[in-house]
Amino acid sequence: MKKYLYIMKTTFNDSIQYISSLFIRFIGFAITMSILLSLWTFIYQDSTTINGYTLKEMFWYLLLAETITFGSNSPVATKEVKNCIKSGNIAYQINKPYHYIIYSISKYFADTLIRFIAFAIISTILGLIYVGPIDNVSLISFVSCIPIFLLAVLITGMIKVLISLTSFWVEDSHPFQMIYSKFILIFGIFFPIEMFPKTIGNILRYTPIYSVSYGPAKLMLSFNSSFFLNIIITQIITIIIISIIINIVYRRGVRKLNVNGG
Amino acid sequence: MKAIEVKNLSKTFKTKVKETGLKGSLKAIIKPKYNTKKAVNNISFSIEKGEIIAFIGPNGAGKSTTIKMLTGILFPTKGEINIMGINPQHNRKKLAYKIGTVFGQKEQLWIHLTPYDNFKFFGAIYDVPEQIINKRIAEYKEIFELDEFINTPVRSLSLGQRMICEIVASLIHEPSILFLDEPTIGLDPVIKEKIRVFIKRLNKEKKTTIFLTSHDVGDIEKLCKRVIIVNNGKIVLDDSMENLKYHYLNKKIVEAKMNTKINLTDVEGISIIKDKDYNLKLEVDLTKKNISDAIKLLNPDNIIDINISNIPLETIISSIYKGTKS
Repeated sequence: MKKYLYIMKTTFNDSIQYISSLFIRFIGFAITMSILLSLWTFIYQDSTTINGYTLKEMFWYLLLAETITFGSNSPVATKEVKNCIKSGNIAYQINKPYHYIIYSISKYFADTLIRFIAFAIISTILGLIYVGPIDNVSLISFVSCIPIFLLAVLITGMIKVLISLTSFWVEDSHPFQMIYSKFILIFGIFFPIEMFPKTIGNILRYTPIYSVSYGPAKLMLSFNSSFFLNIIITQIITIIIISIIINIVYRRGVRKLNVNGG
Repeated sequence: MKAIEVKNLSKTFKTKVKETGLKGSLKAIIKPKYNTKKAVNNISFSIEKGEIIAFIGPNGAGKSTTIKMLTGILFPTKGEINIMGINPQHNRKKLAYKIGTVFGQKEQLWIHLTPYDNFKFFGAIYDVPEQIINKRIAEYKEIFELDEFINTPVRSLSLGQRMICEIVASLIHEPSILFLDEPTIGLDPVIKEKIRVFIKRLNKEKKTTIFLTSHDVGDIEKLCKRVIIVNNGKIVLDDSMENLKYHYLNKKIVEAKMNTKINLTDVEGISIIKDKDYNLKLEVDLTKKNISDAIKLLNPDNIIDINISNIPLETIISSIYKGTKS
């Protein structure tokens, strides 16, 4: 465990070397959120609530869900793992005294933490400016939501690493990452689960969307302890399931690893 | 004590084959065809603790594939590997503490960080206590004169400086065996020499077993006492450097600058390699003729300048490669 904390510390040190590049992403984030707010304002012009959400809640839902997406958009889990497998640099990683997957996730988590905190601050500022503070949010509910958001970021990274591991078999795992991110965008960010027909909504509750997007954002908007427990248990189960899948895929991938001669 | 033991090791790769053109590309998607290639074909050898061996061969001979199997990166198709009592494929993590690897064409350093931060990182992941890491960094700093660049981000270092840092990073946990895969590739002679001197010192002082693959004959000649030559996945020679030279250096090159032009033809044991104006280059087979015979043939009174040398090791090695080419 100590060495993984050191990996996180080193990644943190490495990531702050190019933190300035984050500012460009902030601009993109602010523009995206402004467009979405205009769109939702237009949709809401004839009603005050849609499927239980006021405009303010809807905008905060978008902001919170987007914070997880933008905040967890680290290349470590996607490009780095993919390139590492494709270029053969994985040779250097798998003969080190750590587990490559835990190493990658530790790196991802440290790298993404900086992004996540930065985007959380920007989101809060945007939310306060555009629609004001979230109603009924207390300090306890806010603090309770922090581990839920961090677990959401972790699960997002694990899913991305899992997708990147397909590089052992396919030429490019990027299209799969695209499909996943679009899936999250449409079903997890742009519309909360309540906006979909009941059947689709019920299916979505059993997908990672519930753990990585809908659950954390909804919890912050309407916190209650049973919902909190429900989400954290779902997240833990999701982590266990994804860990098992990653382990199987990784073991199989390493066995068929074909590092070109040098 | 044996550091490395390899028995009947084989590795077969499956590679996709594609016909030319668009039609070929489409065909490859619908009905892919594969070729199997035996990169390593039933090789066996063992290396004693503290040996420096050169594991050489032409491109595609199976050197890197073998190193990657020895270091636990690739799974063999067949055969057994034993590295200091550890099976690399079953106990990769345990093996990692015992070995160090430097792949000349791959990077392991964090490029945005300084060499110092990198060394600290590698020390930490190998569970080396802080005090010892600092001591080793100080030691290597002195040996390699790292002062100048130890606090410069790796991305700003020259190739030679990077390679030195790669070697230091792989030694921070003091491995018993060091695998070097073309460590001097692309480096200038000064850095090459520095690395060679250090490897020798490491082997002498810490009894580190060195397993080296290199295309640089200088590395092999100056460092190794034993050579294993592989070609087409098979071992074609496993001998001491001394024996290699003894058996293959039974020829000498005589280069002479003549006062007047003479016309020579090949005689048994002496062949003319070059005859241009007043310059002659002869190859003397010492099993058949002596150097004095060659000098007599040239006529000593007619010689202005003469140089007698061994056949370069590079020529010997390439003749072994060619001789074993299937």
